[in-house]
Amino acid sequence: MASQQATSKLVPPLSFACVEEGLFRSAGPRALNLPFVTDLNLDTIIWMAEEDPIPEFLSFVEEKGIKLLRFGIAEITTAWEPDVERSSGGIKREDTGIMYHGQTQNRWSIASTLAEYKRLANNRSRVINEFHIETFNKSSVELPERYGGGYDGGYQTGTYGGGGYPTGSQGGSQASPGKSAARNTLRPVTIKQIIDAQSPHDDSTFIIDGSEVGNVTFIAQIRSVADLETNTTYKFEDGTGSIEVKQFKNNRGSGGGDMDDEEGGGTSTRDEGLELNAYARVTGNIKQFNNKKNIGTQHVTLVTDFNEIQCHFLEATAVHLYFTRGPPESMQAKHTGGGAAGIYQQGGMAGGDTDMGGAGNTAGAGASILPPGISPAARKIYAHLKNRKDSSEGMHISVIATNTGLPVAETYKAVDELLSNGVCFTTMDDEHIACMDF
Amino acid sequence: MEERTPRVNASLLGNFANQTVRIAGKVIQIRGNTATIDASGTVSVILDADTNVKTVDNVVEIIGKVNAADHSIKEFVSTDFGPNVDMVAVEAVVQATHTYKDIF
Repeated sequence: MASQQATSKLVPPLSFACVEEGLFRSAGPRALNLPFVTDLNLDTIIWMAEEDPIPEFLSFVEEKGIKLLRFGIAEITTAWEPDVERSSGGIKREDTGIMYHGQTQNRWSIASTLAEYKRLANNRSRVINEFHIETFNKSSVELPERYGGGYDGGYQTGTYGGGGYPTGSQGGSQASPGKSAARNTLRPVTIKQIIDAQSPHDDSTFIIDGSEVGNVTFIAQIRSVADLETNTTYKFEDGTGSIEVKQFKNNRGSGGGDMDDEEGGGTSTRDEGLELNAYARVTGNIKQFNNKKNIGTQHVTLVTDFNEIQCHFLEATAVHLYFTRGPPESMQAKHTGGGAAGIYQQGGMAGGDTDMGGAGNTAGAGASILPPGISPAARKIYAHLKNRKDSSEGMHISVIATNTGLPVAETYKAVDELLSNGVCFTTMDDEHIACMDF
Repeated sequence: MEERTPRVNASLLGNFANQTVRIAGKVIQIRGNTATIDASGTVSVILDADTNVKTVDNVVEIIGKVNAADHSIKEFVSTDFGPNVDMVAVEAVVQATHTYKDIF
């Protein structure tokens, strides 16, 4: 058999990806994939598909002594359009993986699990699957103490570029790289920025200053507080606006650190001192419900050094300017090789503006000739082109994309931006770009 | 809900007559129910009964309404920041607040 020969090579199952260290998801493995699966050193497999595993897989599981837990979606539903069901099979397995991990570990809330599912399922997400996630009985899965020893870093990076999710499962069209990366970022913001944040695709991704946000952190005063059964609900106000914050009970003591000396009496999620009008730092995710935003968090810590408040607002300003106007001039000079920086450094540029490169650029002759409002991706490409002194015939867009590590779609967009701003031009054909001051 | 309390200093009070503002400054003196604070200029504050402005030389933040006539502030609520607060940073935040209105 043809597949017999191929088994000597490692072939991952369809839609395979690493969800977290030691936790993987994929479509149902075929015989071809078994050597690969062997290498993962799995302890437990959760089977989510309606159809049965192939016999080879079952005997493989038995042979390796892997625990196979079956939670077929058929348990709760019967009607499926067959083709859609098949194509979303991998996704279902994925979300279960997360849920399994999440609910057992109590590190993922159900809301973020659903958000993750929707994100991965793209436009194929289904309410019935969400029900399935919600009704999943976490006690039916036992997690090993130190789960999944078989995470093979080298292989993982080799095949998937370390990215985790294969682009295919995300539809590959819009914002694919930012998506998974952005979720792990932490942005200092003001409450006004949260209120103004846009959610162009769905209710689970938010954009501030043109970039997707993951976690946000802010400092504000508590204007009201209510201890509820499952959470503590605050209203926070920082002078720029106010927002509701829900702090959920979870993992107390491990992450909260410094403020957790006392357990707050056991009934409250609240730390000592988080009273009306107190200043606190909140770190959490933006959620949206009925067009009203709120923050879900497990971290609300009292501010004890009041310099932190000033520090936060200045930091939020700096980050805002970074996203809207690009990196500070000092950093830009480094990126662009510093060629013109010295000459054009003007004396009289005022205040905070200079630091963020805004004034220099609008003066038309900063360290780079980029106008304000240029996207970070375009800046990166421009810096890259400028550093290449050897070529006057320009660089192909795909080469730019490879060298800068940007996705091709985004590279095209950024190049368009540079062209329309007149800082770059096309050379031998439309796909070769050089920057203006060659 | 959408109540904004812009951070100001003494010289900006004129622009916020009859509005609610946040002002942080060092307490110079407290006399009865009025206090004087230094927020890049002196500002007199009419203290609330539950005020936290109690210690001279501490930095306090006051949320209150600006009196249109004499630019004094009627306190609503206050926070004692303690003595070790960098007033340069406080002033920088005030400037940022009025420079970058997109986020403040």
